[in-house]
Order: sequence, then structure tokens, then C-alpha cells
Amino acid sequence: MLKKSIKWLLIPMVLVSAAVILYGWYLSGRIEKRFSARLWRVPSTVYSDTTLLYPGQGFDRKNLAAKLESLGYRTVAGPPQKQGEMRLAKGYLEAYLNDLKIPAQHRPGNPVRLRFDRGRIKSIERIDTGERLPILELEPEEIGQFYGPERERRQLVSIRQVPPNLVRATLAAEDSRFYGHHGFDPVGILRAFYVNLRAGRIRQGGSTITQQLAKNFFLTPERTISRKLNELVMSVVIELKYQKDEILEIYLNDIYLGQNGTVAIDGVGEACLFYFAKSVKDISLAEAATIAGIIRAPGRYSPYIDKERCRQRRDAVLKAMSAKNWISDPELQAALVQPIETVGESAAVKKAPYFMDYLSHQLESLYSPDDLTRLGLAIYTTLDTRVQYAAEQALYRGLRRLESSIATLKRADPAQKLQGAVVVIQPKTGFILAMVGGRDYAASQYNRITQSRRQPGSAFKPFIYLAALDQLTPASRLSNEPRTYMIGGRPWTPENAAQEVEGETSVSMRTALATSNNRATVDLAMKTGLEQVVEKTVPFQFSTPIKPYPSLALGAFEVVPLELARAYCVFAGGGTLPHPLSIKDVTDDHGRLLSQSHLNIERLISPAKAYIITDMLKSVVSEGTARALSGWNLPGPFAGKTGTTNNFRDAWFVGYTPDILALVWVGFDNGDPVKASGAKAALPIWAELVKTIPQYISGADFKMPDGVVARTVCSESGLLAAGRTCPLPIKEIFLEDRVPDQPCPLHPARNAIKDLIDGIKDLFGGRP
Amino acid sequence: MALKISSAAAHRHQGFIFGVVCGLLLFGCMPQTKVSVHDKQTIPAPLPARKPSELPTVKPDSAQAQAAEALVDQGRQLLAQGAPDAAIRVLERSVALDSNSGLNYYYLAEAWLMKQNVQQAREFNRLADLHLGRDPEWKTRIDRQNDRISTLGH
Repeated sequence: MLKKSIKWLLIPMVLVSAAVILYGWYLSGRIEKRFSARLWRVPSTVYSDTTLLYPGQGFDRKNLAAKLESLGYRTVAGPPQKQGEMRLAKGYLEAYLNDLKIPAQHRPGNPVRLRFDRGRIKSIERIDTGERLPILELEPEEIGQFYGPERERRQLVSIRQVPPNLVRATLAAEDSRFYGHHGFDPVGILRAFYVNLRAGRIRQGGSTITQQLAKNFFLTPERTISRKLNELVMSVVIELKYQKDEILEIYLNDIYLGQNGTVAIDGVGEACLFYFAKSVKDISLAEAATIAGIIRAPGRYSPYIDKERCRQRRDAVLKAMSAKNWISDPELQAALVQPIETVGESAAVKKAPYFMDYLSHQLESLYSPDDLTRLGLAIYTTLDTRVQYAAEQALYRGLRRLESSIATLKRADPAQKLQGAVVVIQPKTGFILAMVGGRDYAASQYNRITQSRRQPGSAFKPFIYLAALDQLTPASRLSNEPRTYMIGGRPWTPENAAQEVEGETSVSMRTALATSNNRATVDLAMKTGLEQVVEKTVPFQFSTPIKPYPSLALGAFEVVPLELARAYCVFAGGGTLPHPLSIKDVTDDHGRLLSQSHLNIERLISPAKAYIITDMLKSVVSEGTARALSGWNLPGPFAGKTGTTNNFRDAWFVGYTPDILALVWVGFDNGDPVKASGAKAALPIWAELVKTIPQYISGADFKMPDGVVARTVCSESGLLAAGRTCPLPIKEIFLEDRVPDQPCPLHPARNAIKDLIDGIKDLFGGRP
Repeated sequence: MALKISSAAAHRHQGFIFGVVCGLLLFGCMPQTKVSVHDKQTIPAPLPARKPSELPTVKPDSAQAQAAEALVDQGRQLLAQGAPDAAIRVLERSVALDSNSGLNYYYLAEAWLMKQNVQQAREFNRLADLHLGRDPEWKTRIDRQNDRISTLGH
């Protein structure tokens, strides 16, 4: 009988044991698979370039303070004592710099003082050592993140980075016996049961940290017996397979800790940044208790929702820590009187949305869109947020101004509105500093800098003039007479837009470019040879076809705006074509370098030719179609070219200094006329942009390279005026091997004796 | 069911049951090993350090050029420390500030040489020659650098 009873007891025990083993084995595999894979989708973060500051740079105090504010620096009344603090005083700015941590560079934060004089940085010195600094680099600024469908923000932290106070506060708030139990806490469950029984409702949960983890990763939130049992078994398995610190690390990175708009704030690393703008390792005891207190119900205890309730919860956590003797009484008292000082909620928005789209396209060959939303990469770019902001503002205001001055340009439908686009590049490096692909990203994500193809009009002319430099000089005369060309069997007669050159049968090459003379430019293209012109444009790597038709001289073939801006870099950068660069470094979520892009330039034309085209484009600004720029009181010199296409469909201005190049396009997506020239529609946007980024405008002139010489020539013949009686001699520059060697044939030679007599008269004031 | 192993005297039976469950589960888990939750990735080892040559200085003539020169100095120091990647970043910034000095191009060529990238080294050597080639002393050094690039290329 006993034997039979034992047998009946053993059979179910063996069966249950076998079932438990099998289930444990199954769960173990499932847990291992889940935990050995990437645990969370961590959005990749995009950063701007660092900001370089140096004595003599055009950067006023307020502009710099705005930059520091956008980097998260807080203004304080006294001298900055901690990283991230700054003080703005008369004539100077003090800041305690944050650590600069970028790939291949690490500079610890230190206090600095920048003195200013008339809108320029006068000096930079370290406050602690008094050392004068020739150069200073500010940390990069976050531009945006590539979110996955969950729209979560998470800054992963290692358990070694988490300060003991945050660990203790979390345990005090959620699971004080964490290091003593094996996945579930019977005492905790009984206590919760008792509290809930007395209250008559659910007031306290008995779940351990491990149970919460099991629930979050593997189970649904429903409250059923089977789910609870599953949770218990899983907790035990997790505890068996992983060490306590590993479990806690996963938990601290996983927990939901608030909401920023539509984006969830997950993990203590992100929460410390979101609430206190601090790295997790830097938070105080009171802040640690605040974060730990939020875990229970972020919607209820977030300081952004109810500061008083948040403080009460924090105090409860602090007292629980004290009750466990995890903090001393003085520590408790000091923390209890601390106010809850948050950094302030700012919306999680992309700062340069078109640039972000361009980046994701650039990154496609390296990382899939899915990878970008889950691998937590750090992408360091070339963008300058101050230039980006200036470009966005200039475009927005410029289009509004234009719509106000020409009422018929206004459209009610956002999709039909007048559009514009701006790109700013460093011509010598190809670094893209700013990109605005349209007037409103929310209304249209179409990037008019990288995706559109538009006729450049006269903005293409410099390439025609460049092609001619092998045969002609800036002083060469071009025909300004009406002429009809046959294109595809049809007659075509180019007309001039500017009336001021009417009546002159010929103009100099310099004047023709400055005044954007159509007849003379077509004449030039024909003289050079259309095939030759097309051949000369090939190295500029336009992706759109350019064919040998006379209308090519007037920019009839479409170009991608970014490619046009890049091509102009050849003139601004002394003859080298840069590869447009937007991404500098990519690191993984542990800061390990994954990829780098470097300055990549290609010599296309000689510095001498680049200088001559630039010098002619300076005439466009000083006396040609862009002379309105002089009214903006900008510290030039500038070179640039306007562009207007048939029926005013497109308005362009591409302008540059030795340091910066910006292209502005204005038009309608559907090709409706803008009813304004490049000088009227695009140039003011360019001018406003440049006015607000003095840090990039040094005022330095383009440096004349070897291979360029200056000669005095007759303005009528373009030949040497030395020893002749030319009425309007001018100084012109030439390629060393293209200097005119003939004297002016239009005016007779000077009489040496008469010159001597005139000279003597001059000496005694005899001539008026 | 209350389980607590730290107070074994008070809860011996519960401890025993917990031990059995854990033992069984442990057995179930045996084929698998403890795993780390961190991904592992290696960083390439740095290239050997190389001392930059002693070179004559070129006087900058503006605040911007002075800043560019300060960056060239930083770049030189980084090269001396055997950190060509960091040096390239700094020297690229120098080019943005002053592309006429030629010093930045010379050291960029040196950095790319250190990274054994012949094509980039050659391009920057050519640019250095364009800007500094009229100075006889620099010309000698640029030519020597070009020889080293050619040797590496072969």
C-alpha cells in the first residue's frame, strides 16, 4: 500500500520535474537569445561640427552666448564654477567649458574668459592658469536623432558609470532586497499583499527588479495568474543565468522615465540628461532620488508634470535610503532641502531636417535605415548650427519679403507656395555648413538643394568664361550686336536683360560677365567652340547632361543646386574641386570609431585661372548685376554671380569669400514665374545670411597666386596702353602666358616731348 | 509561497523547495553558458609614431592665418605622438582657415603617408608644392616627401 502510494506520488513528481526542466530549458534559451541580442533600439544621434574660436574672429558676445545656450550652458550670476555654466559681462564672457569628447580628441573642460572688442574676439584665456589660448574648440551640438517606430530616446550607461547613490535610490524605491533575493521576494509579496488588503485596493506591487525586467522583456502587462507564474519562473531563470549587476544594468537602461512630446525617455542615462542636463555619473544624491522616484509612475512624478508631487516622492525615497542606513543623517538633511532644479523641457526636434535627410541618404551605403534607428551610433557631421539657423532665417524672411513686394507670388496652399533653398559650403574643404532644402520641412520634405534640377541661367556663365581663358583675356572684346543662331533648324536670337549695355557694339569680357550680357556670352561660347566648352565642364562633374548648343552659354541645361555650388568652390578654393562632405566620423554606442570621411579635393584648374574668374566675379558685385550688395554694408570682398532663367522661373545667387560659399535659389516647384531677377529675389537672402555669420567673414581678400600679372590696357581695345594716348586706360589682370603683347591700335603713340612738358606743368600746378 | 534563503533556520522547508526548483532549472540551463550583454568590437591598433621633421616656419599675416598656424602646430604634435587620424582632423580645419600657407597641406601629406595612403599623400604633397615650392628649403623637403611617397607607392 505504502509502495503504491509512493509510486503514485513519484510519478507526478517526476512528470512535474521533467516538465519544469523542459520549461526551464525552453525559457533559458529564450532569455539568452533575447539578452544576447541587442536589447534596445537606441536611436543614432547626429552632432554638428565643433565650433572653432580664435582671437581676431568676428564673433560678438551675444552670438557666442546664443551658441553656448544651444549647447546647454546655463547663465549664472557669479563666476562659473561648474562645467556648463557661463557668465556674460561687459566686454567679456566667461564659461566653464564642458569636456570635449569627439573621435580622436579629448579635452577636459576648463574655465575660460573671452574678451571682445567691436564685434570681434579680442583674446581667449584660461581663468585658472591665465594661459592665453590661440584657439578654442567648443563641443559639437546635437542636431537630431534617427528614431525607430517606438520613438524612444535612450543613452546607454554601464553599471560602472552609475553612482552608488543612484543604485541605492533605485533599490530603495523599487526593490530594497534586490541583492538578497533570487528573482522574487516573498517578504515583499507578503508586505504588498498586506498593504493592499488593508487599503482595499492595489497600492503597492511586490514585483522585484528582476520580475519587472521579465515582464518588460517577455510578457504582456495583463494581470493573470498564468502570467504571474511565468514571471516568477523567468525571474528565477534570469537570476540563475545573469549576475546581479548585469540584471541591474539592464534594468537601469530599460526603465521608462518620462515623455518629451511624442518621444519616450528611457533609461537613467537619458533621464539624467532630460531632467538635469547631466551625465549620469555627475548627478547629486537629491537628483538620484528624484530619478528613482519617477520610476513608479513617470506621468505622475515627473518634475515637468508636478514638481511638488515629485519632491514628495523624492523625499520618500531619501527617507527610505536613510532607513536602510544607505545614507547618513546629514546627507539626508542636506538632500531634503535641495530644490528640484530641472534643465527645462525642450521639444525633441530635428534642427536641420533637410540636412538630416541628406545624411541618412549619405549613410545608406554603410548603414540601413533600421540600423540607424537601433544601433545608437554617434554621427559627427560638418554642420554649423549657427550658420544653419542663419540660413533658415534668411530664407524664411527673404521669401516673406518677396511675397509682400509682389502680391501675386502668394499662394494659400502650403504645397504651392513660393519656394527657396540655401546651401553653405566651405570652398576649400567641401564641408557642408548648412543646408535648407525648402521653406517649410513640415509642408514639403523635397530637398531642392540635392533633389531638384533647375536651369541655372546666367549663374552658369562663369564656366563659359573659364573655358575661354585659354584663348582670351578679361580685356578681350566680345560682340554685343544682335545675332541669330540656328538651333535644330530654328532661329534663336539671344537678347540682353540689362538695357545699360545697349548701343555698344562690343564689351570687354569682364564687363560682359559683370553685366551678365547674353549676346556677348553666346558670342564668347561660339568663339571658344561649343564642344570645347562642354569638354571643359566635364571635370566639374555635373550629373546632368550638358550639350553643345548655343543656349548652353545662357545656362539652359538643368543642374542640381548642390553640384552648382560645388563647382563654384573651384573658383573660391583656388582651383580645387572638393568632394561635398557632410559626415566626418561615425562611432558606435561605446564611442569606438566605425568610419571616417576626410577632406578630399581634386585640382581642376590652375590657381591663376581660378583667381581670374574670381576677380571677374568680384566685378559682378562691385559694378555688375549684384552691385545691390553694396547697400548691405557687408565687410567684403565678395565674388558672385546672379542667375535668372526664362520667364523668371528661377532666381539664383551664388556668392563667396575666400572662406565661405553660399548658393541661394528661389522659385516655384511647378515652374511658375517668380517675377523677379536673381539680384532681387535671391541676393537679399544671401546678404542677410552672410551678415549674420561674421565669424566666417574675415574680410581677407582673395590672394593673387603666381601666374597672374597686372597690366595697363586700353579699355576700348583691350591691348597695351603703355606709351599710347588711350583716353580710358585700365588695370587688368592676365594669365602670365596670355599677356597682350601688342600696343593699342585705336589710339596714337604718346609724344614724349609733349608728355615731358605736361609733366612739368603738372609739377607747378599749371594744368587743371 | 514564501521563499527566502538568507534566513534558512526560519524557512528551512521553503529553502529546500527553492533549492530543488533552482537545481532543476539550473540543470535545464546547463547546456548554455553565461553570456555578456555587451557587444564586442575591436579598434584597430594605432600606427607607429614618427617624428616630424624640423622645418622652417612661415609667418602668418592675419588673425585667421595665425589660428590656422596654431592648428598646424597641433597637427604636428599629434603626428609626433603617432596619431595621424587626429592630426588629419586638425589640419583639415587649418585648411579651412588658410589654404594658402601650404604648411597644412605638407603635414596632411605626412599624415596620409603615415596612414600609408599614397593617393591622398600625393595629392596633398602636390598642393604643398604649389604653395611652398618657391621657397628653396621647403622645395627640398617637399621633394623628399614626394620621394618617400613614391617609395611607398612602389
